[in-house]
Amino acid sequence: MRRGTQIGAIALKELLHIWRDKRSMLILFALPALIVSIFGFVLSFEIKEVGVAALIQGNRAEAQRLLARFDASDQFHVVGSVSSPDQIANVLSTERVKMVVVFPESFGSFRRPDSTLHLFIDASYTRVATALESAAKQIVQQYGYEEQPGFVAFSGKESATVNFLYNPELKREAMPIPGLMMIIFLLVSSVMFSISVIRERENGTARLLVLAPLNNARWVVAKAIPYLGIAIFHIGSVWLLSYLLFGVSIAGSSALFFALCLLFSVNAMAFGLLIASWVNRQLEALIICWLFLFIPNLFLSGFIFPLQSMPDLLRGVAAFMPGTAFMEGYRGIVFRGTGFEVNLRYFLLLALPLLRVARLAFWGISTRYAQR
Amino acid sequence: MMIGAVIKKEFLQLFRNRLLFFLLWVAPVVILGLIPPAFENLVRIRAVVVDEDNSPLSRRLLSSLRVSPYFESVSYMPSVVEAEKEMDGARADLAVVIPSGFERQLLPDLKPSLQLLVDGSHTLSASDYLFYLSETLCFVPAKPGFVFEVRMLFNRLFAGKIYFLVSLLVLLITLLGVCFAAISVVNEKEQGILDQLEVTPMHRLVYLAGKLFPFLLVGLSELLLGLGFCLLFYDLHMAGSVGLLLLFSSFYLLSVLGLGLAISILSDNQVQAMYLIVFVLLTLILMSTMFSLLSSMPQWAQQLRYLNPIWFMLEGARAIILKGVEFKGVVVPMAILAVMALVTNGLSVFLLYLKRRR
Repeated sequence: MRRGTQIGAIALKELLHIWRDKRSMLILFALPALIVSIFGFVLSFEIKEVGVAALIQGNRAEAQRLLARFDASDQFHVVGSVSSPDQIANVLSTERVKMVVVFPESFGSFRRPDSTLHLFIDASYTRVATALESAAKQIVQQYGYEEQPGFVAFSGKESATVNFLYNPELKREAMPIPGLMMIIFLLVSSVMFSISVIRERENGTARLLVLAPLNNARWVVAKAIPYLGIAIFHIGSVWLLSYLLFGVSIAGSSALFFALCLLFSVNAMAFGLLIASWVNRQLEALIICWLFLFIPNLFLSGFIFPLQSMPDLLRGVAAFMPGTAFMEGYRGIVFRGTGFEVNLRYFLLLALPLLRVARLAFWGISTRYAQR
Repeated sequence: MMIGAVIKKEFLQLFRNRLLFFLLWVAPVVILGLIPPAFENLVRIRAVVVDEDNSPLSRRLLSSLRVSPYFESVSYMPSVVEAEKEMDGARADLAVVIPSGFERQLLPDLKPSLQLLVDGSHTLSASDYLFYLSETLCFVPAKPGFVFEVRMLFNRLFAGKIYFLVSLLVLLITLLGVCFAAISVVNEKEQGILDQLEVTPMHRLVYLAGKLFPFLLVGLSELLLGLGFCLLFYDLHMAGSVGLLLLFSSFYLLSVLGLGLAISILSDNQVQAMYLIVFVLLTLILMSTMFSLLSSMPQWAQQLRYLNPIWFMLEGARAIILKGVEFKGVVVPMAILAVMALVTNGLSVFLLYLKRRR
């Protein structure tokens, strides 16, 4: 037989394996689309309708007017009042209230216009705390400008017109999409491919495949073909859903976007193969995929924490994570609409480690799988 | 008697595999050592400025940006087009454009305005940038107005790390526990051991309990290991009692382990179990408020949190570790977790009986 047909035969065998197990196949095909469509709606990194409680010691009517402004804003939602100062910590430790505003006795009396507003903020989530602080200050300043005659808050401060680029209305759905796609492609591609290889080993069929007249690790390539097809299906379905549900349209070239997604999936599959060449059991591969692919890429890719906020050393590590390259490339192509030259380095960051990882994995497979 | 034998078997299987031993006891420490520095909330904004005014005032504004610790780099661009190009290349997060005639607008009745271009692809960051920019550009108030006094609670050092340390701990014990539980039964089914076990006089409940107990023990010691590591190397301060945390976590672990077991019994082979577990875990993790704010989720998703054991665990762990809540404060979520544990484990028992009929 010619080599091409041999590879085709193993690919066909793998396809039959996938086809035969209907329940697995269903999950495998539907999973990415399902996750992206649900969590595109759910995940959000925006401050919205955060619970605020008030402790009013001064002019009640005036304080209520300011509170009404808090309630009317997108960011806050007034949930109640605090009766005494020693209740503040208690109220904040409930999950509903993240900030307590204290109106002192001097508040609202015109004789003492320099009253001090106290803000108590639950700072267990730092970024949210700073965002709450700035939002609250803005509201109070606005109130001062409009309702207090002669009130000049921070008089030297310039008003500014703010334009948000790439995500003009700060649309909440668009934000988590690249991160979600990254997580999904990474987990699904690596888990599905690595367990399909280890399964051969656990069942003992790897020995038969090694005997096939293909030089050392080519049977692995043949096995990869159906999974590559599934990855392409995933890319298509996820893109279609993000377009239909969230209106994410590709500002740059679609071919480039597709190439980036495919390269990332293949990269994840190579990592899966590397894991498969090292371990003996499917359980071990699953745990390694979660711990050493999912967790680092989740935290170090700029999905949850921007890279700039990390210490230098870790920032260097994070810059080389495949997830980072994918996210940056995605933002570049889809949001900013930049061309190939600008995004070339993300492609390189994905392609170069891919070659090294694949070579290491083939070496591991050809030595370890042939022995037993 | 018999349950002891099953437990012994599970422990033997856990400890004789060297790679699994590494994954259980070394890998979490490696991850806890590597990842948490990423939670550091350093503010390093890369700004580009276009000074079309070039007046003493605009220069003063821009030099205040330069000396600010929040700004990592401030570079001048000749035109807005150039500045936008920098932002396209993701080399800048923020562009400040000072229009010509800016200083003249400072006359009392005119509102001076400057233009800001902000990279909005990360919503929370975008609001951060604006906050620090306004903090930097803000001058001393000329007339008395409202003065703010801001106090941040529950986080003495205002370190962003701590919130996510707890999340990471919960994530680790969840991943390890559920993966082990989800593979345990189906693996024995695939290898034919389950058939052999069925002809022994051992009761099914004993079999399941014998599986549950070692995983629970492993999960709890995992938690202690991680917590000890965090207390030693990061400035985590344990505000509540460790015993309460362990009690709370055991109810949590029982509920998710039961879920893993149910998946394991439901699946015909390991591949199925793995795809299912990836789906279920991803759903539970993303639905819990581990990374996003509860209040910013849509209403239906907020309500669904009451079905999510991870959410209860996160809230409970944060309450106990960060806020030092006593037993009375967490008794309700603990009871709910206990009910969930009953439901998921009851489900696995039910499924196991169902399988036997076939």
